[in-house]
Amino acid sequence: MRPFDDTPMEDEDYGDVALQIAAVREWPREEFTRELDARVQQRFAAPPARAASGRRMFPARLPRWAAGPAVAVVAGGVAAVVVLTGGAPGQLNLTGRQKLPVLAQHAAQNGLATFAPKSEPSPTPRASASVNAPGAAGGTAATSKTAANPAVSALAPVTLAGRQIQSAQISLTASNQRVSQVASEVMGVVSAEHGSVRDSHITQAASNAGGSYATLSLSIPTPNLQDAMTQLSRLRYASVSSRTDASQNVSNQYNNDRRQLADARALRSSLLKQLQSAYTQAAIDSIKAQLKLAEQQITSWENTLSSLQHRIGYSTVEVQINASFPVPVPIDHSSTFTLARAGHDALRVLVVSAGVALIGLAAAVPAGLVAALLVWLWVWLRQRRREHALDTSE
Amino acid sequence: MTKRIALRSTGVRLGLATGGEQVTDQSWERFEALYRSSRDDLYAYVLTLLRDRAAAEDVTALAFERAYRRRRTFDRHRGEERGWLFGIARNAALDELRRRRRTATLLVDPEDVSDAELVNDNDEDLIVRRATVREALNALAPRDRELIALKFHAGLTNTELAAVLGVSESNVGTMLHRAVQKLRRAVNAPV
Repeated sequence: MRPFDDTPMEDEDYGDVALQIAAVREWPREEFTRELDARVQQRFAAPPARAASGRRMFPARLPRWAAGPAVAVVAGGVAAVVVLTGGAPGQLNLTGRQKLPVLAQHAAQNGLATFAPKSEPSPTPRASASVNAPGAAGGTAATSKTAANPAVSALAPVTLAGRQIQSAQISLTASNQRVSQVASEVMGVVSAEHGSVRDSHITQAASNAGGSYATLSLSIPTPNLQDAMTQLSRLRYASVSSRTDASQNVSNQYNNDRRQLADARALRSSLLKQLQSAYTQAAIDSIKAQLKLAEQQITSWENTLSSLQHRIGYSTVEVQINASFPVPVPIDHSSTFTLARAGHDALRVLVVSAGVALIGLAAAVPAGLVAALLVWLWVWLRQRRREHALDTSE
Repeated sequence: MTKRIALRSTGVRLGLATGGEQVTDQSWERFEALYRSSRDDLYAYVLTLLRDRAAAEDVTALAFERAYRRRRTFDRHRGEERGWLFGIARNAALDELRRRRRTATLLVDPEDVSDAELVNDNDEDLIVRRATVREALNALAPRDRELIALKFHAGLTNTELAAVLGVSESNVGTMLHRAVQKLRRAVNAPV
């Protein structure tokens, strides 16, 4: 019995049993008690051999209760590294984008083009001047398309092998008073590049509240198209809000038209030879009729081919000039310190830190729960094995 | 027997060990007091589980060493230090049982000093009585035997027993009552 044990026997009188158990109680050997007393006095100092062999790589063993949080911390660290290195699913990082094929990059850029700033012209122009020039206004189906925002200074068009019809579209933004001036600059560029203005529509608003806009349809020699687009992107009083380059491969159509023209010419040559050897009036009339049809076909194919060559040789450029609304000029406070700015910056840092912590927590909490569950399961299994050992110790 | 129990009463409860002393390492003082008050009880309890003197000595030393290493992790709010120590000893003993993978056999006492003294006193009745109690104890199931040892060797309260065994306090009372009844029946059974 424990000395000074004032604990009652829990409503049972076990005094007789206590005496019986005490009578058969085993006591430790004196030699063992002396050794154990000495070890306790030495505070369980490790024997030299054990101390030498028991050197650990780590300074101390983690307590078991810290296993779950430790695993959670490691998992959180991994998650933070993954997040900070841009490994989030669905996000197209720069490295991955560089590895994409060229056409896929352009597809991605098309997706980004929807975020390019757009400004619609005012529906109520106060004064207008229109210059119309006759010409084919054939639209082209773009086989490749690129878009640019003001951050993109030069846009490399997709060049395909063979005959191509190229077109471009550019949206410029200028101040309300300078829309017409920018339109004049556009025409100057067209003149410098030996092109022509097929259609233009310029609206100049009287007030400063906006509403001025202009649309121009240009025809530029294809070899000069890139130069013209570069100059249009660098106009003095305008900035590029969006730009689209398109090209269509018409090699098959061109070759087909040429083949048809050659066939028609061969037919006419053949008919001419037949006409030389014809003797009857009926045969001569028939051959002449066929010759007439052949010449009509030749003329038709020549026109078609000429038109196609013109479209290949001259690219269509659609220019849209929109007036920008007056923007208040921001005051540069970068060099001045204010409490409001400091508070704003501190709040921003806190928000970003909280966001990072939240993301890390989102990954760490499930991992920690799983780790805690595994630890608990391990402890439970170990205790169960211990109890089983007791049960089988009969 | 009464004399031996009286001698053991020189041990002190852990909570009283450091009273009035200038303590430099309070945890060490508390551990030392715990060791002094529990050494023999712990050995008796472990021997009851293992029924092997050598193994009981090893496990007893191991339990005290573990308790010493973990003395700063002890949380008084979760129970008394004595219960905590016997929990450590229990786990160590069960690990030993599991490690050996064999059933420990009850050692035949090589020397029983008290019995020898009694023989000198010609008290054969007591010798027979002790043998009867030993046989009755060995006939108990391991869990009942452990419960008896924890209650009467270690002197744990039912609350401490519940903490060590991982069962409820009321369940401990019931189990203890049944174990004692079995022991009484075995002791009083006709030969």
